[in-house]
Amino acid sequence: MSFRAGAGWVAIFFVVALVDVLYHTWSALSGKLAMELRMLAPVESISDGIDRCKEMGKPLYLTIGCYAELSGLYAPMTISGINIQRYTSRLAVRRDVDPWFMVPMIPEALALIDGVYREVCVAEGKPEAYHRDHVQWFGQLEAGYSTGAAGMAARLRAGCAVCAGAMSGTGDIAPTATNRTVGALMIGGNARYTHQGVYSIWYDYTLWTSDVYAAGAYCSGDVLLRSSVMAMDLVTFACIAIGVIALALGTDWLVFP
Amino acid sequence: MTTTVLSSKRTYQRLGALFICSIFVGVYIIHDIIDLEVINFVYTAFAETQTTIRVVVQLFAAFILYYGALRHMIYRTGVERTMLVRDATVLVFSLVLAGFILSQPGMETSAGANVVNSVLQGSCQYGLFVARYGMMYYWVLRRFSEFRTIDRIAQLVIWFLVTIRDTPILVQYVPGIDQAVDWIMATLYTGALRGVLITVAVGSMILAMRALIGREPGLIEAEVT
Repeated sequence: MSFRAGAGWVAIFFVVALVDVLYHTWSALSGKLAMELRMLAPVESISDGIDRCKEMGKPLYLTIGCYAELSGLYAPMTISGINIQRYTSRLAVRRDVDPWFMVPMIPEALALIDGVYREVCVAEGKPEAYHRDHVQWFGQLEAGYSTGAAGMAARLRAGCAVCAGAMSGTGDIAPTATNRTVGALMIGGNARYTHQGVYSIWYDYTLWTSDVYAAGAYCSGDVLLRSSVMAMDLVTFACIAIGVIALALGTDWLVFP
Repeated sequence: MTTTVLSSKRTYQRLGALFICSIFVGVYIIHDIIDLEVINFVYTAFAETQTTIRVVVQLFAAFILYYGALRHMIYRTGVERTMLVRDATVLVFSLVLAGFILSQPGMETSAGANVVNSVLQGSCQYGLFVARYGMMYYWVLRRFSEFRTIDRIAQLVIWFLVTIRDTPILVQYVPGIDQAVDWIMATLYTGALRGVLITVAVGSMILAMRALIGREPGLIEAEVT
């Protein structure tokens, strides 16, 4: 047995993050810390968007983004997107608005989204509100998702589109632009820094970067998820501090596996 | 009885998955820190299992896709005409392509299959590229033009110039645009940015000195007054 090169840094970072998350989890469970998050305007606007659909007699368009993978960089965005989608579709089913789900090019998300949709309909006491056809998957190519979802957006002419999660700056542009063109109220955002400019053009209510995680935690209503957002903020600040120190001292001493 | 059913369902649906997930996470973290033969073996086994699960999920999703399209074609009730056309196109193209690939020696690795794949993918990607950027520029222009203030107009003009500068074919037709935009960015933009920074720095120093000699109200006093 031997340690990998740079394992010490990984271990230190892991232990610090673990203590941070454990402390916030314990605080959430014991009620020691208030887990109230500031209400974000895009989250508030979801309810208004569904009312708009109801008043106009139009359906609701939902996506968690073309790149919604369940591992790696996109996994937290996918989970947040699913929580936002669950909250939004629940309100829609409650108010008799038809939700339509565009499944990303990741096939694992199909089962997840379909399961959430079924749960929501049953939870609202309206199992008949579930329609298999309202969950649309277009294959594993980005081009398939892009053309398929754009076609659906043109066909549906939704009153509101909630597009939050792992949105891409390529595959999601055509569907998002189509939704804007047909006059949908646009709510959403993505956590990747690179695409903030792109989506500030499209959305009426934008979730900026880590707002997506906060919105997901808020929509889930779960104090443990809210505590994880607070823990995440501390880790983010720690990463910024390490980055600044590494810039000042050079990075020779900072070796990761 | 209901409580038991619910709790067992909860264990099956949530805690069971969480337990399996935790084992995966634990093995992956240990693997990143320690080079141990047993852990390396388990790590590789998990990776292979993940691949197998992924293939099953892909097959499930593909089945759902074709099943949905086929069901629309058979029953038709409550399905829009455009959806039927889309589903029919998906089925017919899939059958034709599958037939073509199966008829080729070497099947999906054959030269014919590669050419068809490249042509289909290429045309699709190119069409999307044109549509994507067309839509994007249209909406950028439209969104900016909705504002009537001087700063928005300035933003729009600069965005337009930078876009031209970043598009080689347009630079060919508008000679000198790249030098003009570079000058805006290197001189005007950088100058303004440094001006703001210097102003902020000087302002901070003045505030700090005023605070030291007791001429600056504290936050509480500022809020009260």
